[in-house]
Amino acid sequence: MNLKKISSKKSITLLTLILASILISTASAAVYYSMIAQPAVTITAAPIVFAQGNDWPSDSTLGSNGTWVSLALKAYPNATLAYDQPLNVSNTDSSSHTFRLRHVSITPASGNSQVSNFTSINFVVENTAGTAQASFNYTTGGTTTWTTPSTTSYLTLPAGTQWIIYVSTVATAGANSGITANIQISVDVE
Amino acid sequence: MGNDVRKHSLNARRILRSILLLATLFCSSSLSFENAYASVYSSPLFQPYATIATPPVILNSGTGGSSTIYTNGTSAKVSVSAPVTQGWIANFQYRKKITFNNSAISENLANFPVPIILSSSNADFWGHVQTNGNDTRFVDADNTTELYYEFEKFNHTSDDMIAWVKVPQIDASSTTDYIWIYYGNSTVNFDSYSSNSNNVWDSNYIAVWHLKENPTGTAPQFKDSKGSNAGTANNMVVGDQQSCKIDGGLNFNGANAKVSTNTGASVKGLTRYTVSAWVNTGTLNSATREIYEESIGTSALSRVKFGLSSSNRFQLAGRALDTGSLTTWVSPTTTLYTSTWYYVVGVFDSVSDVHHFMINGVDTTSTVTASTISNTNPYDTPTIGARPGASEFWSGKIDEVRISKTARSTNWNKACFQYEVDQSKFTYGTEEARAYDPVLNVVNQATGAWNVSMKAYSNSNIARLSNAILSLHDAATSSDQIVVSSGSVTQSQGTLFNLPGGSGSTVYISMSNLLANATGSSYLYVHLKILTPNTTTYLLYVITFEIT
Repeated sequence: MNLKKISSKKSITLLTLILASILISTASAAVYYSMIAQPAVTITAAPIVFAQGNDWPSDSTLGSNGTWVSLALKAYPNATLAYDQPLNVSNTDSSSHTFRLRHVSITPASGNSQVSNFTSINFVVENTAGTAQASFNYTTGGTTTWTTPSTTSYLTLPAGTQWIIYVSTVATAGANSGITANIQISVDVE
Repeated sequence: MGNDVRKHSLNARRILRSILLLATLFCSSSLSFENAYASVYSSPLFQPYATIATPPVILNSGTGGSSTIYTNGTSAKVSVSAPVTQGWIANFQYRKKITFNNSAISENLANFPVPIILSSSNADFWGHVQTNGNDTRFVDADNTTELYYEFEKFNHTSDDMIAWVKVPQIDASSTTDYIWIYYGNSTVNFDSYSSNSNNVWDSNYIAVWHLKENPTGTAPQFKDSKGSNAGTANNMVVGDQQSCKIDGGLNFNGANAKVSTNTGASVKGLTRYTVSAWVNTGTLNSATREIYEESIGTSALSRVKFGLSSSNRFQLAGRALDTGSLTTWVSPTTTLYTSTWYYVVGVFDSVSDVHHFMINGVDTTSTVTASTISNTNPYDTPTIGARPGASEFWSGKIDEVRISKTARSTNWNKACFQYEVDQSKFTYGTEEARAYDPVLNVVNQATGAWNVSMKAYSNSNIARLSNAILSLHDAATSSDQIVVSSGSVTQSQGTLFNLPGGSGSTVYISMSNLLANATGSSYLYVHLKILTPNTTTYLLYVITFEIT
């Protein structure tokens, strides 16, 4: 018996069957995903957006559709400046969605001497009842190094509900006026 | 064959590895696809930026306690003292101890009237007492027994106070007996201890005239502090009210001026009496002149004749009975001088028959047999500055005339002289405070208005504090913000208080009602909240209050 021939044939057959299966399943999957992905791209608006809070700071900018916001804050030396209701985050959808805060960048960057003018810039996501859902804090400890916040866990914002982002800032006792810290925070929505 | 089998097996493994690789790639592509699906919801971008700015409101040191203002005026530490006593009378913020030097008096002085004089040199008192003095209280050393007093003078414009205070007892030879003066309470008025001068002067006083009133006012012009024997001016003008030994007194013209009192001031029926006054001898011309006289009968015979004799000597003369000759009970030989103040006291004593005349605390005695004064009413009203029948007019000044229905002791009369002439007999202690106002000034640096409030967010060792109040106030209104009572914070935060717009506008932080039950140091950690009106955006300044 020619064992070599027999094995090659079986191997080729097996390989053919497997490849065929993969091709079929891949093609099926592609069709499946394209079917569910298509409406999300073309129809669904951003379900979680920003909105002005009751005490929207002057000089702040809210982007069209509420998908971005530039929040103008102040900080005072050796004092806590608290914004209880500067900014809202709203779920405009009829379904609940989850979101999280994720640090992207902050300037001046760590190592810059201007950093030590700040003590902290804190953000707290509060639900309708005013209960903190997540804290997102930038601190320096008076050094030139920012301690940036970890990405929060996903928070479930119920349908048609608006939460508040509370902000507090503290500058060091000898802070110099005019220094600005710019932060970028991504709000990842699921 | 063995090699073939091995090769075949190797190929199969390669084929399976390829299958796994493909499967992995497939799975990876599927995951990537799922992520692409999730990113269908764009990630909103949050871009806050914080700019450091100059504080719009700053803290400045107040005048009370001691304070440290930290960099930029956005935080502070305040240090004050709380008196450690349980005896502080309620709701009065300040007090001073008044200690008597009674070393020269070898007798306990009971219910003794002392003149408490606070001039402009007591700026702390004048800075805290109400403008009409209605929050002035005198309290015995026990910090409980309130004392009767009478203002002879209270002028918040010139910062002059003379208060006659009835002290329950000043011990013989003591240099440590004391009373308290309390003040600083905006919610009280004069009480029964400060509005009944009758009670200041013990029951042996028949009449007490300070003679401080305008002689041309509505008659009777001259109040009797005992209440029954007000005096009426005769032939006097406005200018006759002059500065005398203790506040105002009267200047008599020596020709026709006198003050008629009331028959209630009579010594009728007494076995003993005492009459005293401060006098200034304007003229010494060998004429008989009366400081005070009471007469009896249709002939107006002298019953009490207290003044100068024709030999330019002081005398106490008179008659016990309604008839008979005038008797000089006692007349010291002291040489007198014009335009000189003398504190004179005449004591008639028909029991011991030893009569006294004291000049500036120096006693002269005379033993003359005397009877009890007859019980008939005076013919005319007893008179200050003349005989009732309009003669023997006094020339010079008279102040503080008093009639007693007893023989005041030599020590009593000497003490009256010493305490009225020598303010060094009184030691006024430093002001003790339950209040410090203001400890801090909250000053606006911006054009806009603010709402400010305080909140205690932490504390340390406050169990020893019986009371403490932290308040915000301006010139018109006050708001208690934080209250400590019986060792705990009973009110941790206050209502919003308006800080007007405009650079320099100020509200004040004060501390009051401070009282501790033990020594030590207590700390209140407080946030001063500075709120933009009608918003929820606010600044928090940290203030540490140290109470020792």
